Amino acid sequence: MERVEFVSEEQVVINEDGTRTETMMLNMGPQHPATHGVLRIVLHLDGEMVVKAVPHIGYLHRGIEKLCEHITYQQCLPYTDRMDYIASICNNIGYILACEKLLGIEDEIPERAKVAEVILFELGRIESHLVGIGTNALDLGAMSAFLYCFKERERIYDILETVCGARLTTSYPRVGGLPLDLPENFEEVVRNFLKIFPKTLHEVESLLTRNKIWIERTKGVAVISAEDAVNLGLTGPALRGSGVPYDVRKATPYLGYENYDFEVPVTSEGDAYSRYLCRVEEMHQSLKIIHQALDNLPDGPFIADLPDIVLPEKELTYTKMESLIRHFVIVYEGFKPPAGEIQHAVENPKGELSYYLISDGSGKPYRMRVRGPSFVNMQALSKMVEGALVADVIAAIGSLDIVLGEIDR
Amino acid sequence: MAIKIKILKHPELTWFENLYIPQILSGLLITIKHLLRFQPITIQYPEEVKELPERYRGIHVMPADDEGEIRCVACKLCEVACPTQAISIVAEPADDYGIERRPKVYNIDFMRCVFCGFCVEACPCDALRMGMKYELASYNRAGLVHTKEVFFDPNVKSDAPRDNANYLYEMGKGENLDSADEIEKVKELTGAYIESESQPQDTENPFKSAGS
Ligand code: SF4
Ligand code: SF4
Repeated sequence: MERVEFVSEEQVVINEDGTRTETMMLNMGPQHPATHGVLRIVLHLDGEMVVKAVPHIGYLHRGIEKLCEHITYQQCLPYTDRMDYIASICNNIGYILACEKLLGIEDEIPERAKVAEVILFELGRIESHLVGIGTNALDLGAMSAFLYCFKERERIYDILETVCGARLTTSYPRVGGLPLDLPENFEEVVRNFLKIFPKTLHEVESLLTRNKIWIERTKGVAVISAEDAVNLGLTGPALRGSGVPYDVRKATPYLGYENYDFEVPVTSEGDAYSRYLCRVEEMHQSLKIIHQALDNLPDGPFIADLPDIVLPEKELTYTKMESLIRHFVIVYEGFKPPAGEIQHAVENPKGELSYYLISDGSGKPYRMRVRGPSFVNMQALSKMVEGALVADVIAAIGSLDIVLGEIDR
Repeated sequence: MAIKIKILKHPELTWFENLYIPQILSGLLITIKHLLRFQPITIQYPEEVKELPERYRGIHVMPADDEGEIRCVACKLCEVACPTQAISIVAEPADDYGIERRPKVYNIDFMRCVFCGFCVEACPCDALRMGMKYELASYNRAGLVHTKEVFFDPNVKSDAPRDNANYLYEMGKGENLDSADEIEKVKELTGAYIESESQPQDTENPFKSAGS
């Protein structure tokens, strides 16, 4: 068997007096609680300083992209839940929008479905940022902020449960709109949440934003310059924290985001603290969007009238032979987009999530490619932590807010 | 359209905030406030059970029809719709009040099922619904493959019309399908079929087309 070299030649330094020093290799993860999943980082340490950090991924690989080539477009939906499982509703909506673009039916989606999707999307964003901030704070020792964040997340999960029927694996919208109308008490529960949530957000802010300890641990830590951020392809709060005001909701609006009044928060320092500030402000902006959407939630149809794509109403399936046949055909073969390829990007809480779909005219995608924000954002990790202390690696991972389900797919 | 940007500044701490102690105390004040208005969001699970919304997607339930039988006609549409191939069905012929097929075996493998609800959406007979139970623990793998006896709940009634399952259902509940009366009834109902039979056929060259 080949001998495994743990120390490479360049790591060994022979000092003037003939003594030998070498950097220490430290495996961080895959079971480390602060790596937010099963990330393994090989750290080369010189004392407490990180000389080099190499992330190793793939522990959670399930082959989602390949699996999706063998199932119908509709059946891919539950797989998208399991990528960024912190904000699965955002993945779902992103995928559905990509399918609608592939079919060329974006204009036929009813307004009610669009507005409802915006509300759910923003709830997903708040939920994801709560986890991002909460776990970042927990890793750095602030337990109560974490608990308050998770308490609010619970309320969002309750809303998602009343709408979608599941808390985490939502699988909710369908191509063409919503499978079921929003529940009757939807507006009430969301408004209730909007009333309670700002208080908790204020508490989390007052626990962290001007807290000397939190600032010491995050300010000037894991810095990435705007140029590096753009070159590495970072998106989301990781990019806006470095001062680049790029947001897919503004750059290429979808779901009618151009009609909502909201701002894109940016900070220029590019450190962990800036990313935290961006996330907090984004939650405030999301609340603003939800308020506007709820005020303008129209009545009317919630799913498009597209006989080739959307399943007929249950009542018709039970009673009419024609509808029954249509039902069978759509379930068996799926809808068939015209041959072609599209790419559709949405602003996921963690950054730009885009789906690239190729159709060969059959009911199954020929290829589905996902550009996940966590995967790209994680590239910055090595750059951020080189020359930093070991303890700052934890702050860097937390502030990047990666989720391994999406990195490994 | 100009993008609205909000530039955030790092806050400047006052000398007072720069002392660690006041920050720790103000943090403690918030946590103590929470302690006083104690509003837990957690529940004491096995004793207390969470109230589930109507749409909750739990372990499947099979409702009963008017005769108290399983509604499923083994059309296998749920099997096709399932993204994880969790359902396995073996059909058998049946002769009950107009229903021709029944499932002999209907298993859902809960090691595979992801509770997406696509099978329920696909069922054309309202024979499958998502239930409210979610406690699935088992000591072995075999215990996680549930059969139709587990899903079937005679107390859950479905009022979905069943016209498509068999149009004789309404007219001839429990009658022998093969009786001459029934066949007459079918012929009466499907007048178009009888009519087309009586139409003259081109027997000489059935493949003759207009062009040749
Ligand atoms: S809920 Fe989904 S995964 Fe489970 S049996 Fe039905 S279709 Fe299959
Ligand atoms: S449960 Fe419904 S979809 Fe599945 S085989 Fe029975 S009738 Fe068909």
